[in-house]
Amino acid sequence: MSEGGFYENNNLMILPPMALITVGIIIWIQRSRNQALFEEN
Amino acid sequence: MEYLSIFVKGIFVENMIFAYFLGMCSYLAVSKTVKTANGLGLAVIFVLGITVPINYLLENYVLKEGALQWIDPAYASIDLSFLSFIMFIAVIASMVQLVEMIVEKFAPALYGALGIFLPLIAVNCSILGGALFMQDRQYPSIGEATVFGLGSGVGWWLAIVAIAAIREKIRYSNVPAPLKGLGITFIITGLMGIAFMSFMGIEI
Repeated sequence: MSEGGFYENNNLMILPPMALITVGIIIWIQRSRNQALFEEN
Repeated sequence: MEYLSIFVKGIFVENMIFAYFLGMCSYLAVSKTVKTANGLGLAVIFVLGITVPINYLLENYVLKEGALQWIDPAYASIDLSFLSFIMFIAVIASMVQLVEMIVEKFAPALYGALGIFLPLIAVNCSILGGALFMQDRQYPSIGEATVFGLGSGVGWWLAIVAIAAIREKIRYSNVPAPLKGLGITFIITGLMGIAFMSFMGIEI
């Protein structure tokens, strides 16, 4: 498993737009835990 | 051809939203319907197209080191570039006041829909970003600067209209309840950013 093993790293998550997707996922987790934050539409 | 290249680059390769992530606040807040998004996008095109050339003149005839030479050769050593932020913002704020008056007079419905986000164009990052990129890239003439301002404005307009159209459609889709609204908008913006990364490295 040295140097990542079978997985070949394509560095997808260090691209700049991935910051937005990370924020989206954080919002998803936060709103799943606190359902009062759901938006109507 | 130089002008066309700067224009197309400003829209696609160096898109304000998807390449530099500037002006995200009004982009996320006003993109609920295409109509208001279109209005704000046009206002941003107008403000960028006016302020970038004005700031270009300010930069080259007042602020840059040696720019005051046209008054008197004795001023050649004066460097006022430390004032550029405050001067650029002053120009932008006055132009936004002008846009606000025009929109209030000719499109009162749009004025009501945009609400606080119309005067907030004054502090929109993409507008000051346009002025600072212009300063950084040292365009050879005011024509290039104007075309750059218009191009990045059109890029911003394209981005906000595209996300508004997607958000109008996605309202009828079965998005997981916690992701509805802002969450899915962030994720779609990220995916669009990746799509726009495919324009990187294109030389026109």
